[in-house]
Amino acid sequence: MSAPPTSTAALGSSSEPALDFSDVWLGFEEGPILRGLSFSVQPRETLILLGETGTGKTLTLKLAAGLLCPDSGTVRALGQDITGKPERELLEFRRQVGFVFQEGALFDSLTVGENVAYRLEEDHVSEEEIGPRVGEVLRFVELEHTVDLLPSELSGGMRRRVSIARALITRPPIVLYDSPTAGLDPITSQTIITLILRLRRIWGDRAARDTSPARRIRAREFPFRSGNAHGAAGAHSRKCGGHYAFFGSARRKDIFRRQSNGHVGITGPISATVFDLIPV
Amino acid sequence: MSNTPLPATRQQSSVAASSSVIGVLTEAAKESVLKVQDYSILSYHSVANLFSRPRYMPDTVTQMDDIGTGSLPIVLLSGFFIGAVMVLQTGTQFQRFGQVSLTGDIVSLALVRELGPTITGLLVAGRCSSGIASELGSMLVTEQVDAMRAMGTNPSRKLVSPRVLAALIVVPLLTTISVFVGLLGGMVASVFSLRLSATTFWQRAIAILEFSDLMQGFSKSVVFAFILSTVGCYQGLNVRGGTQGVGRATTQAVVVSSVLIIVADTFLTKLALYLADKL
Repeated sequence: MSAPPTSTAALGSSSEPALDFSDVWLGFEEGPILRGLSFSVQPRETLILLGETGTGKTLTLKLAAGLLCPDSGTVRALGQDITGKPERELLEFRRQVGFVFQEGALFDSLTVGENVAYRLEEDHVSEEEIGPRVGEVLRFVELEHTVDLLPSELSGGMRRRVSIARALITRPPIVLYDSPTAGLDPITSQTIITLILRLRRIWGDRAARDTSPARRIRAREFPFRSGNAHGAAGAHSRKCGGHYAFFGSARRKDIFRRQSNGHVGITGPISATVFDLIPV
Repeated sequence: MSNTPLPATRQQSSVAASSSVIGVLTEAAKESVLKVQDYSILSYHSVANLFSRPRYMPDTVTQMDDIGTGSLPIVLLSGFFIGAVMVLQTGTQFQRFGQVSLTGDIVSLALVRELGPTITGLLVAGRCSSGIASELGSMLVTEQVDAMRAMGTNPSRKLVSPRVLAALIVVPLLTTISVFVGLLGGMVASVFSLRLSATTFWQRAIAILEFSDLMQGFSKSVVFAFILSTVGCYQGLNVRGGTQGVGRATTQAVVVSSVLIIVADTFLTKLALYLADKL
């Protein structure tokens, strides 16, 4: 098991939040969905968004990546205000954000290797460099053998892992996971969560080197209720080097569990079963 | 300036529908104007993108192969038989006046000015406009377009411009081939059906053509290429409603691009005749 390539993106050394939502409103024809959402994420922190379906978790992630523009309010990321920025500048900004889509969103006409190499190809990285880097990141998600396969030839869990590899190949300072385990069976969900946690650890989370299962999953919880901010209830935040992760989850019970000892667990779609699979 | 048409932006800008008749009509009018606006923006960017980096030349070549080489068999077949049927239809009329040799003139003019570009445009619209719409539509509903944006790629540059440029290059070429094959078909038909000599047919067919005729045919094919590619891209990138929406967009792409091609043909003909007269 090898570590993914070292991050090249500079981390903000100041105390400025890595991501800051301030009174963000967003709505569609059927009415406002996000109503005055405010929260911030500190550098090296992992935040999990929780909430019922339709409360705007995915929208929040898309706002954070600049894929949508809020009706009002400001979104600041990596020290810059991304609200109302022209698309050209947003495209530049998004190169510093890794986004794992709910269904993977792999390019189905490209092979796994080409999917993972996509961003490097866009940056005109030399072929000699692309090959080893793709191999390395695919080895990390344990899918090295799939490099020449098409996404349609992979299982759902494998596709999700390829999607994670694709999002992480440039070691972006912000990573957004949109329901990374949605629609997967409990065991595959466990694999994905373990992978994300391993990434977090390898990327320099000094405090989380303890591999004891009881301490392996820690993050700050952020409950979503009809898009309103209810504050960070019972914060168990954990810093993870260069890797701010956000999970948009389909259902609260699906992804998040709190144990009596105060540690926080991430589970898969069938909470009870998966909860057992992750001994916290 | 958002040059990536996405349903979300449309949803935001539309106003809640009113129940009154005037309200419904106003909403429908607004919706139509909005569509024209979105289409115009997409079309503008598809061309403007070509003048700045990054350009996706490998994607353009792939599309040229798909649109050009892929459409060649149907263009060849239909071109040949359209030329032949033109001769059969007009030849019998000319026989009544004993002017069978004029067949070459009329078939040549009709093919170069009108039938070559229009039939090729319609055929390529049927084959490629739908293909583009379904491909981009599927990419949109599976979030691949969003993924592209999330990775810092402008979908307009990566997906739209290569298709438009490829169509602009290959459709005039296909039209040229279609016209040539049409004349061949006409020649075969006139030799076997009208007992006209091949030499006479070719000589008359070539001699009647003027530069303005060639320009008329060429400019039409360029405009038709632009229409069929941009309409396909627009319909694909504005899919709403999952896979059913993709099917609808595919049909719409063919219908809209075909109608637009025929309508544009009328105005282009009038313009070309006016210019040929003036110059």
